[in-house]
Amino acid sequence: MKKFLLKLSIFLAVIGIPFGILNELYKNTNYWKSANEVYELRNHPDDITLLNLGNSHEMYGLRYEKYYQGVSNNFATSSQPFYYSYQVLKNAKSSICDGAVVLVPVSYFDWYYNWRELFANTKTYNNRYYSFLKPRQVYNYELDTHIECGIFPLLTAKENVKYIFHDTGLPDIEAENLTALMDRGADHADDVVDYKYNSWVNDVMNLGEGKDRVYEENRRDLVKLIEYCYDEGYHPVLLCTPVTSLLNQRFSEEFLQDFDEKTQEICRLFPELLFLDYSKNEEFTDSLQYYTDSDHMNSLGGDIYTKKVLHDLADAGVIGKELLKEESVR
Amino acid sequence: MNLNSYSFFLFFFIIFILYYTVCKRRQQELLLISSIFFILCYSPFCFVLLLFVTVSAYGASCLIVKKASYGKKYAIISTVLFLGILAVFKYLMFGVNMWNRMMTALTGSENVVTPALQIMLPVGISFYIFQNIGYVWDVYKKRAPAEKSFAKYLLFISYFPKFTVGPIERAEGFMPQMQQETREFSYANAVAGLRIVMIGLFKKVAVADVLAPVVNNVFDNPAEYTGLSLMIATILYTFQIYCDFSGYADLAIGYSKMLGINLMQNFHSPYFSKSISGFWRRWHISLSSWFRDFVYIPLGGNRVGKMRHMFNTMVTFVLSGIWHGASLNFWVWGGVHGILLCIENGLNKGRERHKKGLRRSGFAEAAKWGLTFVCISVVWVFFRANSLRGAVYIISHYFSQWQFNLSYVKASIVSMGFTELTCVVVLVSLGILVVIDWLQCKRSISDVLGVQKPYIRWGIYFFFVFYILFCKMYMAQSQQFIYFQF
Repeated sequence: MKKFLLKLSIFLAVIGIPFGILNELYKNTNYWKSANEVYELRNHPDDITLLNLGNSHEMYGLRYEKYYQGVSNNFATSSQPFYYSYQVLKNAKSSICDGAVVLVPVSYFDWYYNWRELFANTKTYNNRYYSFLKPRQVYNYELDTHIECGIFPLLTAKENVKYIFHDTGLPDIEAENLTALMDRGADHADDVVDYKYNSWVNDVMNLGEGKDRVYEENRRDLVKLIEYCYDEGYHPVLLCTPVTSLLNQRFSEEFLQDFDEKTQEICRLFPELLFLDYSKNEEFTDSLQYYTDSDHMNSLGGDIYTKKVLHDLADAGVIGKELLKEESVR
Repeated sequence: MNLNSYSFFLFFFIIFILYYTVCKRRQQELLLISSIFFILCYSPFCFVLLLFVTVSAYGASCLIVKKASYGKKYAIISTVLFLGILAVFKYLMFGVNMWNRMMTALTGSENVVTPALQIMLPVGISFYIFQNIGYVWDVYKKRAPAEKSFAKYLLFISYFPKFTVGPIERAEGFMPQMQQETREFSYANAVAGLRIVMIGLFKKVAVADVLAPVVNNVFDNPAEYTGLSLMIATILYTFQIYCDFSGYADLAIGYSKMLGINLMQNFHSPYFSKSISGFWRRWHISLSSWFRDFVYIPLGGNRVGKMRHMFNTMVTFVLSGIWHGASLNFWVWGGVHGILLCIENGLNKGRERHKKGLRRSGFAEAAKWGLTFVCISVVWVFFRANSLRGAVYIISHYFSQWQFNLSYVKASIVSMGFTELTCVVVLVSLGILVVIDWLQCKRSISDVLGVQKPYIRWGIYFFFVFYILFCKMYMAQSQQFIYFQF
């Protein structure tokens, strides 16, 4: 048996060593890091005093570098539910200062976000968490997915292997985000809004049977997240990032009212919780030049929005005015 | 936990080491515990159901031995019970849906509809139910002795390499191996087992999983493709299903061989057959021989009149189709195979009378092989298509929109989702597959590799492993084994 195991080990080593080297090189490419949100979720600074969680709305909308002097980090990433916002926050605990301000965003789709079903079926969004969260923090954890997505991503790299030899660097987000929604015409804007509305209503949210169950699950996740913030001595702030008025108009009064009621219920549950609601702030919703599409801000919109949020936080006494950088002082 | 998953590799490696070291004196206990763990990984319910069926079969076999005069009754009662369980899980949903459709059509109202049922098919149920039925009848017919130890019998049914997708082992082949309490490590067995596992992985990852996306594109939307694309997809599916299923069987056989337990061969180069009957002697051998022994022969086999023989053949194949699942597609697939076999039997009898003593020409043999392959490939369409109507559409459109120029051929291939790289990989993989199967016609691939010079042998190992890794990394999307649904 020793002879067999020795030969097998040599055989596996001959294959495994070059594979392991290639795998490490692949994990170090800018392509892999940006595709797996490594920069947002893992490469964060220490001693953070201001951070936000949430999804792509905040990922594009909040840009602290220009306006905040303290240590900050944007932990938002596309389609991130409350559950993962909570896990990401827990995971970064050692890098967050006592009394840090935690912006906890709520988007229109969040209350009925059917993420448990979506993540179980499509997996794409779930897989990125394998590379840095503990197994028990990952929803529907599977060892095989962990090996393929977290440990040996080279196994499923396909044509992206080319980035090992020709790493193109990070996509030029700034250039991309300067494009405004209306630049390509009103018809294009209508199509974009239609697409987003339909995908939220039909694919992302569960507004049919099981609606109440989905709401309860999401509510429970958010309550847990806010409670965790208080337990750790952070200062949570509820935040609703604006979307375009074009998209706002697509939702019924009933839906928007329901969203407001459910958010207010959270505020009643935590009386000290500050809620910054920009969802109907016309300064943003009517300024279509601030958006790349129906609901994501471009760099111009992001800058102005971040400035506004920081000033409102300072006005509310949540952050010190001395932490705001010169150019943001009114 | 699939046999080609990383978690299984880890699981098996641990079992393998324990089996020949710490648990050397308790090998069967280790196999039983690991089999139970393997099943529990799917769901505890799977295990409870398996336990119920196994206890019932074990009890029936004990009763058959004790009260021989009532043996047939016990065998029939247990068979009805097992088939009933299988029917509930496989056909109840189908039955309710059919009933609902019928009532809606008859009354025009949807109010009479019975609530649709959602029943998950327990993993491996079709396979272990047939093993239990086979065992009870083998005991009754005295082809196999009744096993005294329940633990050994439970191991026979639940043995993890074969649990999910077979082979459907027979007691006479498996149980005698259980009499050997301790197995010494055998270098030859371990190496032979690894070689078979390597071939199984090649079939699954480098052929079946590479072909699956292209085949799925066409079969899911056949109306969007040209006749040539439909033909190519049909041929590719023929290879996909073979490599998917026989790849799994190879993994099961290989892992088991490493543990010193031989499982029956389930495939024997089936696409080299020159007749439909030859194909069925080489395809899913464990199921074919089960149907032969427990359906075809009890019905009278071929030792009856011409019409009765045809009837027996049809019944056997339609039942085989029904076993595959609650879908008209499978039933038609089984039925068409039955019809082809009846035609072949008729032709063979006529030919025997007229051509006795004539030498076989190479051309005639090639033509027979070609015709058999075409028939089998076309009938697979019923097995794969999303509906019966879809299958008929595909077969009836093979010759539609044909144009005899190179750009048409290229456009047809590209529209299926082929890139230049995929084309090359598919051709290389199929070429290697044909060579492997051709070699395996005469002797096992492990033996073929074993007699090569070391540098050639190791070169082949490295080539296979790198090629499998390349396909896994660059081409294949992991697909569930097709036979998991049965």
